[in-house]
Amino acid sequence: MNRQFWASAASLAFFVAPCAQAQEASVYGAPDPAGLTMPRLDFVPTPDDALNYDKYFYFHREDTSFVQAYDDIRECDALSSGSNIYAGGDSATVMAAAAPYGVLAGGVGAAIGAAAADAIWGSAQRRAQRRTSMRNCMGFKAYHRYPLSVSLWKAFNFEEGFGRKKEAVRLEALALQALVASGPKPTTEELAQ
Amino acid sequence: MNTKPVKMKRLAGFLGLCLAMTAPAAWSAQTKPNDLITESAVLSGKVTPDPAMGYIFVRMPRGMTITLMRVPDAETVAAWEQDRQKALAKAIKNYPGDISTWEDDVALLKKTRPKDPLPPRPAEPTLEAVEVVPQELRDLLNIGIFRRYAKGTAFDEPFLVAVKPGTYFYAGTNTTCMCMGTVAFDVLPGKVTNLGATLLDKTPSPSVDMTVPDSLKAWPVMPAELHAHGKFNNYFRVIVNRMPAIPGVLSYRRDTVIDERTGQALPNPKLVAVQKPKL
Repeated sequence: MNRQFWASAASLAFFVAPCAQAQEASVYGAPDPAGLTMPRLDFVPTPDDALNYDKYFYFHREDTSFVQAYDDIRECDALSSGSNIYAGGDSATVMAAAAPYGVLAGGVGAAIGAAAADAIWGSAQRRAQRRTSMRNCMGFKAYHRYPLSVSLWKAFNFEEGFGRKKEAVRLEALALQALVASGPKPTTEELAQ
Repeated sequence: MNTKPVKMKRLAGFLGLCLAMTAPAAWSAQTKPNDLITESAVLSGKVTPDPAMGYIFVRMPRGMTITLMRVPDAETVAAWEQDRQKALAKAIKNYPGDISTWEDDVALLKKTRPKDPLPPRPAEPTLEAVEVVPQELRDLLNIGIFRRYAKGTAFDEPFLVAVKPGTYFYAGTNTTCMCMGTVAFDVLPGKVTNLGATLLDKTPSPSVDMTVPDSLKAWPVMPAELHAHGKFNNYFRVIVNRMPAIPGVLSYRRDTVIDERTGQALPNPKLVAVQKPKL
């Protein structure tokens, strides 16, 4: 009886452990990875590709679950997008909202800085800023960077300058990025952080 | 014929207004939060330490600005909650009008552009959905470039600012957000908290200049005691970064912020981009 009990407990533990891992709680509501198709990552690099690896790359970290990768990417995406509650990333509205609170010596400087940056450098600068922010954030989380060609990159990534992609498009791309980030270790050369 | 005195009066009024707008805060005997104080105002005695006010002294290179945010206290949270309630009441009042406008839009679109997708019905207002100034943005400071305390050098300009006492954290510069880990410090009432050049020193060390000008010798000055502060939202949509590790103060386990005083990890808040999703 006792032996039977321990045998059942052991088999239960054997099955429960992977299940518990599969049901890891996601802070950002990770989708079921079973519904996602792993994007293609293999390509023959051309000299032009090599010039653009600062733009076209993907992240990967060993021993990372899909849920963990998804939460990491969503957090970095949130930080890189900026949490401007006044919608649309319009820093001038934050400035206007902050002014009545007597922070003219405060938030305005940062808001003006951001608004001026928009006016001077425009959307391209915003896209570059997003890339830098994502690299910094994912780098702090110990993800490594690997190269991609433009066409393969476009299949599961997006760029945002002034505008914002549709939510469904963004979430699908971020889920695919998480699938790649938690997938098999790339065999290609790692890029600098 | 008699328009001259009127014009003069207007001119005097205009000049008075300009003067009032540009007058240094130090001209008033009492300083207000966010007032930048100059050495001349201190030397002339126009500004003296106010026991109800805190002060921050900081040194930084010319042309640089830093942003400090105050950790929300009970008063800030209460004001934020009151604003949310007000905003909710306003949204509820406006909701029937919003619905009516939406119905008109839908009717018009159906007539004129029957193939176009219709706009979604406005959601019923909720406390969670109303937009008010976030707690951390209510007492923020931007220091640098304008109204330095005294003349400095290209690499070292001093600033003195009056602030509401409390705990402040370094949010970043005008181009960078320290949203993935930074330092905080307390500002006590009636005292000058001296940050020196610690925030902008790439490798914080005891050699950081913590001297204060002689004109502040009579003021109660205490060095800023830094401690770790966790992640926060990138409010101004600038480049995401974090403070370098500081021995005894701040370190990291990957992206988890560690308070080196206790060795404990700080909680990881859920960070959000509250930009309205494009559906």
